[in-house]
Amino acid sequence: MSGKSISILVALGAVLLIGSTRIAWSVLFSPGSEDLHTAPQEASSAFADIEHAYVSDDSPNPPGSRPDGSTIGHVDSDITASGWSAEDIEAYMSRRTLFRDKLRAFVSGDDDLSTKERKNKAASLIDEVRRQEGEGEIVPPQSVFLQAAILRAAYADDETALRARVTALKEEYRSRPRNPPPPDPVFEEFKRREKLIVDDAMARTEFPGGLSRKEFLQEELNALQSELYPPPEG
Amino acid sequence: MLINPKILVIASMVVLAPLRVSAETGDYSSWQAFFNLFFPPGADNPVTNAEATAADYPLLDNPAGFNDGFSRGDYYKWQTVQLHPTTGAMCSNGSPYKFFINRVPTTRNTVFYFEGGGACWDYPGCTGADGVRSARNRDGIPDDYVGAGSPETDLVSPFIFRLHPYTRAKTQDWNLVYVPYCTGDVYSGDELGVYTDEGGSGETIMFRHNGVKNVRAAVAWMKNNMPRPGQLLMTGCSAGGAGSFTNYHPTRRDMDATKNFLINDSGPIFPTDRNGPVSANPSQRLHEQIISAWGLSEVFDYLQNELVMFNQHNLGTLNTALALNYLNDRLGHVGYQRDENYSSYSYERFFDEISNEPDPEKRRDLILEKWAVDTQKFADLLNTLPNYGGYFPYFRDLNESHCATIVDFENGDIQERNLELADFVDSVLDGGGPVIDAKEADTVSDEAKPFNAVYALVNLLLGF
Repeated sequence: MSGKSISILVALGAVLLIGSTRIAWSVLFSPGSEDLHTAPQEASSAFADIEHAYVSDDSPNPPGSRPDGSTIGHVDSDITASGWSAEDIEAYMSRRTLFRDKLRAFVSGDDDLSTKERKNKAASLIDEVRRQEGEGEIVPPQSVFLQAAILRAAYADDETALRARVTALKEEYRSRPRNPPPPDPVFEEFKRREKLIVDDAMARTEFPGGLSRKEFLQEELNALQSELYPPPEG
Repeated sequence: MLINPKILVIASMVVLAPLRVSAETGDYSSWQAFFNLFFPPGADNPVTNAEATAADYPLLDNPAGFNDGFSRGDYYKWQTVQLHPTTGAMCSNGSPYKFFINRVPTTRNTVFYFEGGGACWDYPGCTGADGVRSARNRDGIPDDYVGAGSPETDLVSPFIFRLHPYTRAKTQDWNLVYVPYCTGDVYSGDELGVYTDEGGSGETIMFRHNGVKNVRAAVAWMKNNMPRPGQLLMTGCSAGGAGSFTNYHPTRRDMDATKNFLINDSGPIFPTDRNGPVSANPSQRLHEQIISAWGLSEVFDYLQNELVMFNQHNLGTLNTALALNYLNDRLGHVGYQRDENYSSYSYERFFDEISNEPDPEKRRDLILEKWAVDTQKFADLLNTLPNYGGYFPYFRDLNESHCATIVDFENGDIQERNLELADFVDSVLDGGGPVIDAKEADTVSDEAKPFNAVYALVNLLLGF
């Protein structure tokens, strides 16, 4: 048995112990749960960051992956079924926890920062938003939205500057090129033959089997779709 | 032998996480959530033979051997789920349909978010010709649709934006299902549109109003690949709101969650007597148009078979039917009284005095007069249904006051009742007793609010 396997087994054992204790505690003290409900009602602030970390991600791609979903670098598929390595998940959760907490505190104005400090903090948060966007962890509309929320919090006392920055942000994102989807030869063939069917149907005055023009079109197009998109063999 | 401390950290995080929060129906125990990382749960409520072979709108999943692209253990990641055309799913142009899922290991709870995006029922509308308000994604759904960020405002809805900077919704921690819109029929149609450019080129287009089958195929896939939700929310704005509403009964029935919620944002199917006077039933012409163009009679026959209170002579009776058929569900409708978007779709092309009015402001006012009639009737109806609340704030300086739950839940307040939109959302998702009903009387305060940088930006991005 390899060192890594032993490590996983020991980790599993440790967590089993924690989990068993946790379950026993829930059974003894939980205020009555229904089918899937097991946790107690009271919260423990000691675990606030843990919970935040676990539920805070909105990434379209896991850490260590490119925006197209392909993977960069090492991924240990033995660790979780997701294909993320433990290092990936830990780094990801920690970063997201910290960021979401910072972001919400800043946007809510729940701090004692001076005007200058707020602007510096805003710049720092926007850098992080842009980094996450660059790594594909958030998608462009989410990035723009987060940046706008940060700017609003930073420039609440300077409407002119706020408008200027928001406008600049808009222009920047609008000027970005969008890549068209790659061509789909099957669909292109479908549309080519669909047009032939439509032209034929519109030119006809009579249709087989007493069908209406729409029924004829429906039948022909369904047949075309079945031909070009057959179920997989086997 | 070394213990990898990082593995312990991750595992412990999962095991201990729920200690700090109140778990709800549908949340996994910490122990189960931990195992889900290694053994992602699959289906426990699969499509039955009866559902798969039903005479009307069967649940048809992908054929065996088809690669849907889904990886069961890819948590916290938007994944594209491909649906094979044999499921009956396709976009208006005949391209394959797909939807998107972002799952978590900590809960079974699931939100179906239906994308908004207009509607169409003729050549100008379904091609966007002549500047007519049209329908989204007429060219189909790219595989990277969500990853590339195309749905813009929908993706920052607090219901599905886990990192939302200032609005919290409990669904942010749920499994997210993003149902894209590409059929121009508020997810309700079942008809091949054959539309010809009568006054111009003579071109004829095929436009598949295939919304119902798309939703049915997505539900079939969900049942065969994901656990049964403890809690299920169906929601969306505009066309998405309407779609969440019209598909609520069959989806809720088949997903079979323990607790079920609907929040229809700005996609009302107003109470409208199809045989009554138009002045008292302003949406009558719209309803007649879409019943014909989208093949709604067949779809509504299907609904009427199971919802006895639903009467096709008044499509708005579907509201009553859902509330009475599902007395333990909590349902909500939210929409602005100054919604200039859905109202325009509803009346602008159906009343000559509106379409011929050259002054945009007068045209808007004529539209909103009719909207007020419909809105009041709707609010009166919802007032009679305890488990179905109606929330009607006046104005928001965003997206033509259209859609209350996109971007954030702010500026949806009803000042004279001291209510915020979040109160209404909480009333639906977490409340007890009757769901809040509120219609704002103050027509001044909402328009006197200060500049909002976020809204300004979103308005700019949307081109308003």
